[in-house]
Amino acid sequence: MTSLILRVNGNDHALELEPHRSLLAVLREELGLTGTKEGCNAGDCGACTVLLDGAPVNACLILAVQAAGQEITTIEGVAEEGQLHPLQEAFIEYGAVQCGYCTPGMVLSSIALLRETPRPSRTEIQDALAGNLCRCTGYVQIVEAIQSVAEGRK
Amino acid sequence: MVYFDYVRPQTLDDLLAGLRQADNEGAVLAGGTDLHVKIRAGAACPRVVFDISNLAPLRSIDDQGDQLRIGAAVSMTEIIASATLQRKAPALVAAACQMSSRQIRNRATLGGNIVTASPAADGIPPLLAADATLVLLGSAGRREVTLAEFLTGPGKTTLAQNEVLAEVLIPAEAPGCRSHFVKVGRRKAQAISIINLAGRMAIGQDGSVRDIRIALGAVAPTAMRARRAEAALLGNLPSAGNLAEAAALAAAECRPISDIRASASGRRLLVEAWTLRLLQTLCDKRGDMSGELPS
Repeated sequence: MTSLILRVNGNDHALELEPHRSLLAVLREELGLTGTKEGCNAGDCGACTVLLDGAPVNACLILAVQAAGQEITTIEGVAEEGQLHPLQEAFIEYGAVQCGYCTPGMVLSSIALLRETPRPSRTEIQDALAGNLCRCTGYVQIVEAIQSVAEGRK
Repeated sequence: MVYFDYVRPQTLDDLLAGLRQADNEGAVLAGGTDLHVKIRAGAACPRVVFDISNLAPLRSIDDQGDQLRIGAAVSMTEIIASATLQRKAPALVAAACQMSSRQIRNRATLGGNIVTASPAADGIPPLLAADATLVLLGSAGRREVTLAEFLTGPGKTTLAQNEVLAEVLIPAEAPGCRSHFVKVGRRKAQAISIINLAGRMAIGQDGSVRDIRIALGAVAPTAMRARRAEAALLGNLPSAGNLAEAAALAAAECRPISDIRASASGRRLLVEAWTLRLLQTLCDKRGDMSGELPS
């Protein structure tokens, strides 16, 4: 067992963990942050996307012990003081959420994109979201929601 | 569920001592984008993993004048962002841009791409075309081996027991050298390459080909140089005729298999078409890289 502190959404959590456990498993099972989803456990679908020091990563392919000392942002950390992030509002408005399973990952990948590229082209959005698969929407509404925020319409 | 211990060595000496002590039951962990998948599939069963992702000597990109030095634990995202590599290793940067997804690129490392040694690895053809050398550290000390010698088969390398890939060395390109990378896959992202290619060419004052390297991936047990294609061009003035001849030779000398992604004959067709376009691009002739196959 390893003792470590994980800093998630600005809060420090002291944990005793077996080193083989993924960040995804620990977020969900130890910290009760079930917004991050397991879709494939192999880094293919992006449903487990979290931000690690601001960079989108697949939490299923990171050991929790590796993330000690870094800033982890999950979907639970996106809305501030109960106020939805403009991207979250846009996702709702544009019908970009159907089953909702890909949504946390999509929102986090989009947040990272807009921080780096405030006015991305459609191609840049598609490239940034290439690691987030959606089986419901066909992606169109998701891209439109992001474009609306980028163009300052939200 | 596979259990393993986790160690984060603070120095290269600690890493090597740890690997020795683990006596071949240790695995080096950098990005984890291959290792964790293998562990979960039962293809790797380490007793202990050594996390090198923050080991400073393996994390830098240096322009040493006569060569570029890339630490094995440099991520694909860092390769893409490096102004040095954009200028001096553009084919490698192009390859990194087309790998997988942002999430994977933020973690996956060049060293991992090489050591996993998939025949379809995207990072390998640009390095092969650049005559890259690898620095390995282990019980035998420090040794250098060419990338070509290092790769021995699908997923197989000459990495010795308890040895770690530490650095990738790329000889500096001569001025006027042009390089390029092509990836062909079923999707624009998150695709294992059906074929990939990297080329490097320098044209002399008299217009003849002074230097030509063509590296092909996913069409042989390891990435390979298309030496017969290269020989057909070296010393000659590039023409429609000899570019087409070189492309045909590349297609003939590769050794593809039929697998879930494509047939062997389909791969040869792709090698011929894309080698021609690659060469046209390198020669600065009309090279249509828009993705449509010739009719």
